[in-house]
Amino acid sequence: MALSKARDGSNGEPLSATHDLEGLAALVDGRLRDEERAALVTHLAGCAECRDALALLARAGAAGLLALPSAAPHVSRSSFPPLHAWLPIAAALVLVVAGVTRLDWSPATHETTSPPAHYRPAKPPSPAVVVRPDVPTPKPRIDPVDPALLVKRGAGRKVAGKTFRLIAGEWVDSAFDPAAALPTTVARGPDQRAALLAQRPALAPYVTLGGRVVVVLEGTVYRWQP
Amino acid sequence: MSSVPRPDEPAAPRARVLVLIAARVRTRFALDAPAFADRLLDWARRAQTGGTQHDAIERLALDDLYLATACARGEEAAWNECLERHGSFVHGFARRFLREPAAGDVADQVIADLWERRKLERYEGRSTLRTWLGAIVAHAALNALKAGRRTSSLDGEERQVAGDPRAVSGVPRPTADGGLLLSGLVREALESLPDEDKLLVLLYYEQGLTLDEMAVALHASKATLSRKLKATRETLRRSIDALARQRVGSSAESVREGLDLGRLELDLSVILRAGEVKQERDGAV
Repeated sequence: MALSKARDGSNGEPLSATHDLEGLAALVDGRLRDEERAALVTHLAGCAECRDALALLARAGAAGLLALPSAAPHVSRSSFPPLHAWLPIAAALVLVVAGVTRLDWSPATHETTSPPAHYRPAKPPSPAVVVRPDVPTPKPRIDPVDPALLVKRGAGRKVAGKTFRLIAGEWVDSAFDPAAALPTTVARGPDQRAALLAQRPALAPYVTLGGRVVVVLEGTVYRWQP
Repeated sequence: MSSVPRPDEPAAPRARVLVLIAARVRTRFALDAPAFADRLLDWARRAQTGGTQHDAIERLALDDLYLATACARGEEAAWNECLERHGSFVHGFARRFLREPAAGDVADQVIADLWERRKLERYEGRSTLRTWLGAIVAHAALNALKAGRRTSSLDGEERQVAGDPRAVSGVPRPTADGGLLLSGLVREALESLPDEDKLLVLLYYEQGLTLDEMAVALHASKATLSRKLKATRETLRRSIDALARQRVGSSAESVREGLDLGRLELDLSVILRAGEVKQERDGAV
């Protein structure tokens, strides 16, 4: 692992971005190889800034903050085929069973010759499981859900000194008054929003609210939508 | 030359990475598996890791890296998922070490930087995304703390910050001569320790971590750390003892009287933290 050189001794300067923060995180996660760990320990023994950061991380970890909540969307894969892979097989089974039940096993009443005495009716054929690995199973379409809609209606949040209320899936600044008819700038989509933020960096903290926001800043209403 | 691969030939690296992705990543964004595989192979080539590229890639937190890569490409669905999973963690982490409104400002700035400055591109998957985000917030919080101390030292006001172990008051300071002597001996003895043992001492005495917290920091068991720390303290004590006789010429008996383990505990905490306090007072922060 390439470790950036650290400055030894703390002189109180801000922690430089060249310190390997991901290395510290990997150490806490126990994901370093022996030689990587040894190199990082040597670095930590001589770098107070990195020890400071590691200490904060350790305190948070000991308090359980680093553990993911159980409802994480990540799905671990198993070797067992996913449910939808069984659908063609299940459909084939249904068809075969339906076909078998329609066969007339009653004694022949038509005029063809009756089967010989030694004839034994064949067992119903095994379900024809046809696996066609070359035909990809279509992935189920999962529409992304706007996380703002998952929050309870009427919930409030404070961001950078402003209070917002969730109204119809949109975080609305409490300072917003439709009757005031302030000049309004609307950005639709990520490109327009990025351009807006480039023009007005003061809007950056409100990005955390998500994709539908109404903010009042210096006499202007700024609104962005997906 | 035959174009049919022999059974004993290893599959091409890209193909193996695609198999790895299929097993461990849920490709739920516009970023597809081949593009992600290319990103991984590019990283492995640049990282020059020991061992094979495939081994290096296999050790990564692939699903987290996939999410971060999709965010860095500007995919809004990925960003929404990232915020949903980790947004409140970032705020909670900052609040643990800073008071409001500083905590909120730090958290908001971290999130804004991740999105606007594409800092998520820096994440390489060597740790989990959550722990990496924690390290980022820790870095930002420390800078905010240091900025706050600079302000308070100019104003002459004492500013207490929530959770900061160095805001401890009431710890008796050593006397000028004895303290300086002991401080020098301790630092010299500390330098002679192996790095792992030195780090244990520094995390425990300088940073004030508990054994539980050290177990998280070093991903080791509390019992192992407790044994190692005890052994290291004893080694340190003997080292300091030997150095004192060498430097100061005190009898072994009088040195032993002053350096029993109980007093060594207090002195180590004071000495290892005193250096920092001195720097703050001198306005070096």
